[in-house]
Amino acid sequence: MPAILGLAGMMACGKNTAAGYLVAHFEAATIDYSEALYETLERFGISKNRVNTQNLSTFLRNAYGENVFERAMIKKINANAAPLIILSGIHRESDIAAIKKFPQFHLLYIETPAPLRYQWYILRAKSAEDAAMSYEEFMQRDMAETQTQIETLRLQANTVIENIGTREEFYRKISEVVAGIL
Amino acid sequence: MEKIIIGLAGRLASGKGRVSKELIEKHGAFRVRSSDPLRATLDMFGVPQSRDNLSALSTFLRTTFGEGTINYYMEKVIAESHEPIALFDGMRIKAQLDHFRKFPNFRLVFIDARQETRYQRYITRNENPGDAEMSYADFLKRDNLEPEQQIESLRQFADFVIDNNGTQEQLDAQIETVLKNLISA
Repeated sequence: MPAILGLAGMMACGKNTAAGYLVAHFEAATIDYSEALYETLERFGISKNRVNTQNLSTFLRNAYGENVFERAMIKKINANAAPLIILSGIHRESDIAAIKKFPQFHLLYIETPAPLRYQWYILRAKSAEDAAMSYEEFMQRDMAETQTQIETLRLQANTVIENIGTREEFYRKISEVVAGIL
Repeated sequence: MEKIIIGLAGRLASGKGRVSKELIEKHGAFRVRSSDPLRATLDMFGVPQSRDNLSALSTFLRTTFGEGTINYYMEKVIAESHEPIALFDGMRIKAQLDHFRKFPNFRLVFIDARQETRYQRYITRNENPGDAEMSYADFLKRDNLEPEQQIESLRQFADFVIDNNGTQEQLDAQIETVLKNLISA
C-alpha cells in the first residue's frame, strides 16, 4: 500500500519544487492531474496551452462527471509500484472526493504569499507572454474559480506548510511530513 | 513496395469489421480505427466506451480543435507501422477523404449492404453496451442521422464498392479483386 501525498496550493506556491525534491530524495513517483489532460492533447496533436487545457477539462467534467479526473488518478495510482506517490495539481474537492478516504492519503497544502508566488511565476515563465504578466493580471488569475476552490482544500488539509523562508527550510518541512506518513 | 493505405467506408454494421479482419488475417494489414484514440482517452478516464460517450468526445474534439485531430493520430500511427497495408477503418466525412487523398497510395473502399441485413448484424454483434437491445425503428432513426448520411455521400468518391449482401466467400472474392487491383497499380 503506497503512501499518497496530495499537494495543493495556489499558482506557483512551490508544489512542483516540493514534488521534485521528494522524487530526488525518497523512492517516490509523481502523478499530476494535468497528465491525463496533456496525454489526451498530445494524442490528437493539439497544442498544450492554457486555453486548450481548460476547454478540454471543462468538456470532460461536463460530459463524464466532476470526478472524471479523480478516476484517471486512481487508475494511475493502482498501476504505480512506488512506495510514495505524490499527487500534484489538485484543484477542487471533486478531484479527491474518493481518494481522501484512502487511509494512506495525506493532503498537504502549501501556503505562499501572493507577491512571492508572482516573483517565482515570472522567474520560471516559459513564454514571453507569461514573463510579461503584470501583478494585477496574476491576481486576477488567482481569483478564478479553480483557485477559489483551492481555499476549500486548504481547510481540509492534513498539514499546512508555509513556504516563506529559504528553500532549505521548505525542504526540511516537507521531509518531516513525508517521514511521518511513510 | 510502398505502403498501401486503404480507407474503409460503410454504413452502420455494413461489414467494415469483417473486411478489416480479412485484410488483417490474410493480407498483412495493420488496422487503425478512428475510434482508437477516443477509446484510449475514455479508458484513461475510466469512462465506459459507449457509442454516446465516444460520439460526444469526437464531436467536441472536431468542433473545438478542427477536423484534423483524429487525422493527426491516424497519420502518426500509420507512419510508425511496419505492415505493407495500413487500414483506416471508418471513413466518415469528406474532409477525412480529402486529407487522405494527399497520399498517392490511398484508396477508398465503400462497403455496401441493405438496411435489413445491417440491422440484423448490428444487434447480433453487440459491439458497444446497449446495442443488442435496439429496435428496428431506433436503428432506422440512427441510420438516418447526419453522420450516417455523410458516410453515404462518400460512396460516389469510392475507388471500389464492395457488395456485402451475400456470403463470406463472395465478400472474400471481392476483397481479393480489390487487392490485386491495388498491388498491380
